[in-house]
Amino acid sequence: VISLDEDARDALVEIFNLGVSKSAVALSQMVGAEVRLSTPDFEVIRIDQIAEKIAQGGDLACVVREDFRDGLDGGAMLVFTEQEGLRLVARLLDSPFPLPKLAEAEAEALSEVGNIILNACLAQIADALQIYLETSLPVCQVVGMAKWIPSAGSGMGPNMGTSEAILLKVNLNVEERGIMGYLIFLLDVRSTVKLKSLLAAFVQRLGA
Amino acid sequence: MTTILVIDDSSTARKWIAREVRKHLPQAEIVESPSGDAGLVLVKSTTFDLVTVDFNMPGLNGIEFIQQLRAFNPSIPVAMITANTQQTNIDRARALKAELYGKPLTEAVVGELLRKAGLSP
Repeated sequence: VISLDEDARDALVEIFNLGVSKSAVALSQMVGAEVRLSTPDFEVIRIDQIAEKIAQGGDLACVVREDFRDGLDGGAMLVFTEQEGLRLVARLLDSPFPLPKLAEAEAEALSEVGNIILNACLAQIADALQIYLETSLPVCQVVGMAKWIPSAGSGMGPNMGTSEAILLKVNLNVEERGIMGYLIFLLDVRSTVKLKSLLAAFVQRLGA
Repeated sequence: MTTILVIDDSSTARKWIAREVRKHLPQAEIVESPSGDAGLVLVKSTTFDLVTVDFNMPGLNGIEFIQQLRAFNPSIPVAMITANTQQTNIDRARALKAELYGKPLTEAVVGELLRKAGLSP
């Protein structure tokens, strides 16, 4: 079972906070509007619980995913309901809304948005933990909420056959645009031991 | 005529970079390449004043592209424009005489980038 003590948990949420703050700045620059963040949620969950954790009433999820490995193995995801994703793309491409569906050009644009947002966060986390994270290319998919996690991986990151993962979730709320999405980071259970030692070293450096 | 090669697998990113560059250099000729491999072919056949390259791409990544470019062109200004701004990548780029700039590019950052490349309007 994954467990982190209070210091490690606090450090992880703080590092994640720094990362998503960078993401919010990047998204704000792209859409020209203020982006508000919720306090990150942290929990250990079963993989099959993820859809119900993020569902907002939509049946379809618009997911941009990048996996990472090396310093830690995991997956980072930017998730919107399909309508939220289409609304964001319409804003970015100056297209009329509503768009009928996520066609190739829109998916490509959303992939790049996800790439920027996810990497802004991952780079901050990597530098804070003094590790390197090699990332996969972004993949954008519209998939059914119930099955998107198992089908979206590149095979580079976590083994989704594992039953548990660390879930770090934050809401991104684009003010004045009515767009809300989620940033989700999953860590492979096997990375947990490494994560604990990295967090301990991070806390020690703070105290030095 | 200033000629700039923009290498990025994302057409959205290429358009974004071209748009920001044209705010400073409206007359610049901007050549787009969707990969490092195709970009290498272009820099061997055409003279560019500046090359921008993404880091994370299919085929050659940005660092690998610059390594191969430096083997036959040690002096052309190169800017690696990527969302992956880890310190390791900044150090790798600098070791190859390239600067790393984070996405999304802003008008101010592009101005700095062009000045460092000796392309101030």
